[in-house]
Amino acid sequence: MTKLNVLRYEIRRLISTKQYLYSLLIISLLTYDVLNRLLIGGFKGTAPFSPWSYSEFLALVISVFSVIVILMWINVFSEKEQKVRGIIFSAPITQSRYYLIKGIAIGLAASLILLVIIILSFGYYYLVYGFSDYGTFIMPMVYFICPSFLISLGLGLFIGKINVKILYLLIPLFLVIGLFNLGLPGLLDLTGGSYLFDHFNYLNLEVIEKYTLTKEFLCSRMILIVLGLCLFGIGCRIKQ
Amino acid sequence: MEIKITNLSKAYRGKNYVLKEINLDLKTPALIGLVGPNGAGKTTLMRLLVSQILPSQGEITVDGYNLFKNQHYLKERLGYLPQDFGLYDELTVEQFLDYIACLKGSKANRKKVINDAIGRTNLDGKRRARIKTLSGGQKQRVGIAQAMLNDPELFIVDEPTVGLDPEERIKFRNLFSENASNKIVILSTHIIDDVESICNRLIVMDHGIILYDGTPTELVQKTVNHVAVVELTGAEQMITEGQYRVVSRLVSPTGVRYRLVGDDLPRSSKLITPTLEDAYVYCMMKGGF
Repeated sequence: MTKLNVLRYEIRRLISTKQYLYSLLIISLLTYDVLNRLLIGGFKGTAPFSPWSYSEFLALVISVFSVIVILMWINVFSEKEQKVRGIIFSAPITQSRYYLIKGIAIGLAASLILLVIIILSFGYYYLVYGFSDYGTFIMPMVYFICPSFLISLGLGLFIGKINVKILYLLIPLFLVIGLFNLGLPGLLDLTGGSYLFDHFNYLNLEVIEKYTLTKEFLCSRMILIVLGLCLFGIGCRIKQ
Repeated sequence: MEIKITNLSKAYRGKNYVLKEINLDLKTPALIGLVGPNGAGKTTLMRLLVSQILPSQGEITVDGYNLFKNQHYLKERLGYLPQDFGLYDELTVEQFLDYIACLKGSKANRKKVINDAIGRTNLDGKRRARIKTLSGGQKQRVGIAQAMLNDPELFIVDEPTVGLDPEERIKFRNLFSENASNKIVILSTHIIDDVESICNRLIVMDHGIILYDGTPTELVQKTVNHVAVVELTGAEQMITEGQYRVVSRLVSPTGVRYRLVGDDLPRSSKLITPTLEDAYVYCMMKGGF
């Protein structure tokens, strides 16, 4: 119960910062821009409200979202936060449990940002196209949000524990991978954007209609999810 | 509570020893003053005592349990204020104390524990103020308040009176003294006055070793006949340190009055009763007793 209160405080601390407010603002503007400018015509000839178009939308937005998660971890390992650790680690709480709480707090605070992205996109589809069959977007969300979210959460903690300065390198990395089509292989294609661009042209009409993704891609997404969880678990256990 | 420190050493990169073969036995009740110059090893000793760093050799036992294998046992009984600490600026005083109380596992009477700490540290008027709006001294009080939560059996404070005004300093050292009746209080400080007023045991450290471990009174007694004053007129030469150390230098209309500590004092000087500060300087000069 008392640890739940700690979690409550951690979430409150995260969402009451200017950084969080700016993050929400930037991601909302990006969502609006991507929907209005890039997806209004649909992804590669599919309808704007097709799962393919929604996947493309998510692949673009999730790179900035991952950067937000990394920025949250940078805060956790900032010098200012480290100074409080002297007091915190004199309390009977293990480092693993403490970072687990921090990770859950970041995960929940970031999920709220995700919720805003999703609500905005659903609202857009409803208002512009009168489209409300949101069930078709569930699989794109699972394939494109979960791996990127978990890998940024795990990588942020793991690298932050080793050296916070390396965390800054992840910011351009996520942006470049997400916003440019680099033709990366599955495991490096953290946002799934390269897959959509490269492989869509080779798909036949039936696959396009059913929103069927290749086994290789699904496998790489699964590996990224497991890797993200493993990095998070190991990151919690690394002693500083 | 009983803490035994046996042959404790700490070296960085395997060769730079900041603590060398420390042996101590601490038992409740005790109010221990830990003094020494910067780099003496005081903070390292404290960080080892709260198991925030591991020793290079030696061991610490708390009530017979090895500290580094039973950290939880110690931390459930610990109140600690580090020298250079941070607070969560965006929380209010009350929220921050509640946060720490939750980490410490306070359950049923958390509100009472927090109110008590706020009252004792004179933060009543600031309980709903955000920490970022507090002055340096007020933040220091929040630091002391969090260490007092849960009425710990072992209370370790590193330079607690830094940033406090003289009145607050007196208040806090009395507070530490009141608390010491049923616990071990370790107070690291540069301010000899603080130690003289409240500590029943004094540990003087330098270069990672203990120079003195005993009562302040015994240390003062060891300095009798080694403290003197000498007054020199303006025409006479300035006094230079060599066989003795200058503890103070007071300029008067007739000249300069020096307070000296040493073995071989000038013939013209007049012996006086030593203070704890004189005794500390003499101890440092002799390299321990």
